[in-house]
Amino acid sequence: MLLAELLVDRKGEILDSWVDQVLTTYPEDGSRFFKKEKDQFANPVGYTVKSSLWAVYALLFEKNEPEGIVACLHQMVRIRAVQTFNPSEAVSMAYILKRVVKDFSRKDNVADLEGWHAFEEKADILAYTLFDLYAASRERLYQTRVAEIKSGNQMITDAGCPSKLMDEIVPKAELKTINV
Amino acid sequence: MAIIKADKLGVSVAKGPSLMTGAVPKNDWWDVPATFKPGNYAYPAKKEIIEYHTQKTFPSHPGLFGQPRDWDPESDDWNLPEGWEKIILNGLKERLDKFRSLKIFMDCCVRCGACADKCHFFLGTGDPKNMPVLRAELLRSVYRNDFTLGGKILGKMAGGRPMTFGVLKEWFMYFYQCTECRRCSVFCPYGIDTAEITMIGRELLHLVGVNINWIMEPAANSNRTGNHMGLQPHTFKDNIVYLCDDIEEITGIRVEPTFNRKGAEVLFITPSADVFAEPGIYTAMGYLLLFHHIGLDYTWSTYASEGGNFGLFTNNEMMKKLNGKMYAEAKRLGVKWILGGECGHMWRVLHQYMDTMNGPADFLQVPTSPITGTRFDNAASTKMVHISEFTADLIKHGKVKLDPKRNDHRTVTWHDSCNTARAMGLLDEPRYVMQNVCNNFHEMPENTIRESTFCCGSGTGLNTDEIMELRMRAGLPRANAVKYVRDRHAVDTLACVCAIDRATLTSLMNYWNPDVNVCGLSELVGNALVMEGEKERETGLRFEPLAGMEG
Ligand code: SF4
Ligand code: SF4
Repeated sequence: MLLAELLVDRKGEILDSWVDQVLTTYPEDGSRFFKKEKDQFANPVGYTVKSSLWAVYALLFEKNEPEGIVACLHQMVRIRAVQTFNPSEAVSMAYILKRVVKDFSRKDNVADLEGWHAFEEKADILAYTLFDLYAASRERLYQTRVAEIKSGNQMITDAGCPSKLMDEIVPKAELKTINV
Repeated sequence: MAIIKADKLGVSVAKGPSLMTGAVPKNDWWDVPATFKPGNYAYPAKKEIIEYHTQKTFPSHPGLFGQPRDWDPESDDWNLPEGWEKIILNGLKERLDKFRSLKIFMDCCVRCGACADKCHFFLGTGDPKNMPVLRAELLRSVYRNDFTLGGKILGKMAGGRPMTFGVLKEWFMYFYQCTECRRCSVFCPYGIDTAEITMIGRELLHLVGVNINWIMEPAANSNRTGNHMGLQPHTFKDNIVYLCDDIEEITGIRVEPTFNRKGAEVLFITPSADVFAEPGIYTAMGYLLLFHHIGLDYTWSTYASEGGNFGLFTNNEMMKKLNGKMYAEAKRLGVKWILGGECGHMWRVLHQYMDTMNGPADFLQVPTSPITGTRFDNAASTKMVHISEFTADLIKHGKVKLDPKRNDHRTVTWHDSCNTARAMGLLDEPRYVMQNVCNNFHEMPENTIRESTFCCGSGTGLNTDEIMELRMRAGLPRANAVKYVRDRHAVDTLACVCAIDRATLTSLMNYWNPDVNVCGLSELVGNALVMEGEKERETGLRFEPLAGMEG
């Protein structure tokens, strides 16, 4: 059997295992819920991981359209980028996929060197894309933090007295007296 | 019956048979210690802020905030006072005697798990201690150990555990990963309000000086100058005057609000963020236009210059004092009633706690709209009406001229803020206003709105930037529902009636859905209002071009 065939024939099982292992990266009680609940609004993490991985798999191994994977992965990586993972754990999906596919091919005795090269290449595209998206998400997080600080909502603390600041911004002559 | 090992019994309290469909933790949750790392905790209050509260806010209540000191959550020594465990237990006893609801909430949870998967912190983190049932268990286990017979005799076997430093750390971690949003309570068959358990947890932490600066400093500012921002009267007034200048530029109309005017019919109180920070200022411009449009006899106060009440996030005493200030000002100015702006927790305090703390406000009159004659009997005790109720009533009676096309440059969805939606039932009035001021409106999915609304993830004083990651994961369920309507209907505006939401959702959208803007409802009202004598409007209140005016 060729690896490309295995990837199509056993798609459902491979994906179930892949999704399961990615969701196992969460604390046990949380991951049980993330795996079980189907409603996309009641369970954004589980739903996003599952739908992203299914979509990416189809693009890489069925349709052969790797350029489409960015859009499928973005939300999942945004989620992982603000959870308490190390960066390598946050974007470990490509490595987990390699492990899963290796397990299946071992069971099915797939020895297809050509096929492995092609698979590795796609898995690497996935890994690089995840890494890029992770870096972009972290960048976005810091930009969000900076934008908030600049917005004035942060004036409450650490900036000294806002009244005094306003005095500095607004020329004294413009200040009118209040008739209380 | 199999004999369960004693050390496992303590765990089985959260493992019992499930009556409902929800999940309860199966792991040995209390063996996992809380570890503080940069990014997962908000900074402690500065020593001088606690000194201020001790000396100035509550000289009559020594010990309410523990000993002013410097401390570091990451350290293993929090510099706690001698005998701190006793202080906490005494504080708990006092509160069990004082608040009957607390005693009931401690006793009546059957661990059915219905609340377990309803908290946005759990949904965003997968951390079992963010399941409301376990959050409450953090306090309940101590209650059981020291205040129930079973716990006193059997200790851990009965699900009790002594107050230790490890428990204190958990409290600080998880009572500050609860935004007191009350979503869990909607699903609890017993109506247990985990938000109130968090409130008590925080009160107890204060007794030993465990607190966060983002709450304590705005509370100090509020006590000192009347608002979170620490704005003094002249600055507060000047800011509003700047907004009037912008209004004039956009509409050609000069609005002349008054300040601290005795004998006005109505006192208007709103969060100071409406006066000072984006995007709240556009909402404030909406209020100014509306009041001018209907000729309301009202005044702003530069002393009651804050609707927000960080006391709700601190303790009962602080909440009472900050709420009382609004009423003291209403009395001093001799107004008939109070109109309140777009704030969240101001309304929670009003509707749930004001009456027992400071009410009823009998020196005021039952609010009656001078324009429509509607008597707001729902506010018969607090004498304070929400701007959305007030506006909806004006629209219903045809008293305002509106052109919803002026919001055609936006496609809007509605965020039900936790406090106004769940704590005061303000669900339909804002939607009614929305229908009348904009043409492109789409609801988010049903299990994410109205009573089931998801929190912004940064309420209860958690809207500080050092925990941005935590806020982003807590806000994921909200952002996820916004993403859905953005993808489906090209929604680009998220409207709400809460000042904290306006600030926090802005950051939340910035991260999750960068093309979605956040605005207050009154900003949309202000855009749509057709003012007498106005010039043709080319831009909205934030100087953005209107549809058809982009050129
Ligand atoms: S009140 Fe809100 S934040 Fe707190 S436990 Fe309940 S759902 Fe979670
Ligand atoms: S708080 Fe209510 S919903 Fe949650 S476990 Fe207890 S009884 Fe069930």
